[in-house]
Amino acid sequence: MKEWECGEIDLLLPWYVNGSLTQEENAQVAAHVAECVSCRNQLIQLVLIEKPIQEYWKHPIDEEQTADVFDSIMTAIGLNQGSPSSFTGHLLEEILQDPVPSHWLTSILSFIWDEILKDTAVLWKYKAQIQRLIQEAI
Amino acid sequence: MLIQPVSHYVRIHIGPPEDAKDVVQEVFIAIWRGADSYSGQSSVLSWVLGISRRKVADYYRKKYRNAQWMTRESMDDDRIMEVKDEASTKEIAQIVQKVYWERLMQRLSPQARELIYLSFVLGLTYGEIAAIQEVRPGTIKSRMYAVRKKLMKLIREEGLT
Repeated sequence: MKEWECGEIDLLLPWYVNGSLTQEENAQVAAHVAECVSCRNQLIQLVLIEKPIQEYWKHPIDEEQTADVFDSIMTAIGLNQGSPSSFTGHLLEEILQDPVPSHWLTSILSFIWDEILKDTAVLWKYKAQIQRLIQEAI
Repeated sequence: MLIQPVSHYVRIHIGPPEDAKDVVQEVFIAIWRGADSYSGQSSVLSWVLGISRRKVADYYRKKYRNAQWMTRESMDDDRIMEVKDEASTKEIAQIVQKVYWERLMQRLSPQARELIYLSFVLGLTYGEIAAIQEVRPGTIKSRMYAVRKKLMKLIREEGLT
């Protein structure tokens, strides 16, 4: 495997720090910084500033404003009566049309919960029903 | 939830809170209406941030005709201001605690803050960032290089004042 130059490595360092490089890139950077003082110093600098940068963006979003945004979106969505756009949406619709025993709901919801969270539009459309289902299940 | 990254992204570029709020709403309505067009090729987060970027561009297009917000020219500002006297690692370690990050971040261009946010906070790959910004991955790498140099210069200035 051909070793990469400092220039190539240096450009990749921010993504080495955030852990998003490919396996090959990661191995190249790790091997290079183990040997190269200059690149290692650059890497240390990035590691030092990573935490304060993340802290800077930790401020929570204003709750009142989030609620306003949420309400406006719900209003806009209420005007749009399209069918659910995803697998999760279809699944939820089936659950809602043909209620299942409540002890099933917990496992069904836990199974699709991650998908629901990923699919923001579905989450919003079914927010009230999801909350009701969770309450019933509990 | 996606509201946090979308709100952060929009506010990086749009100062007036009411305007930013409007754009965030537009982003989420677009997500809802475009949900069927999500191909699954990129992560949901990248797809949503791509929509956010286009909505921010629409905002500036409406506000200033022919606005060039996020063009190569605006990114070059960071490159021009590239630092000559780079702080050493030892210095950075000593002064990074003293830096007032709120002020430091405001001294960076919105484009620089965006790049820092997408990589250091959201942990996106350079490929994902390139897809969001509709440029080549190499462009993202070199832009980030320039942003890092600027950031280190500001850290040194802020930490020593």
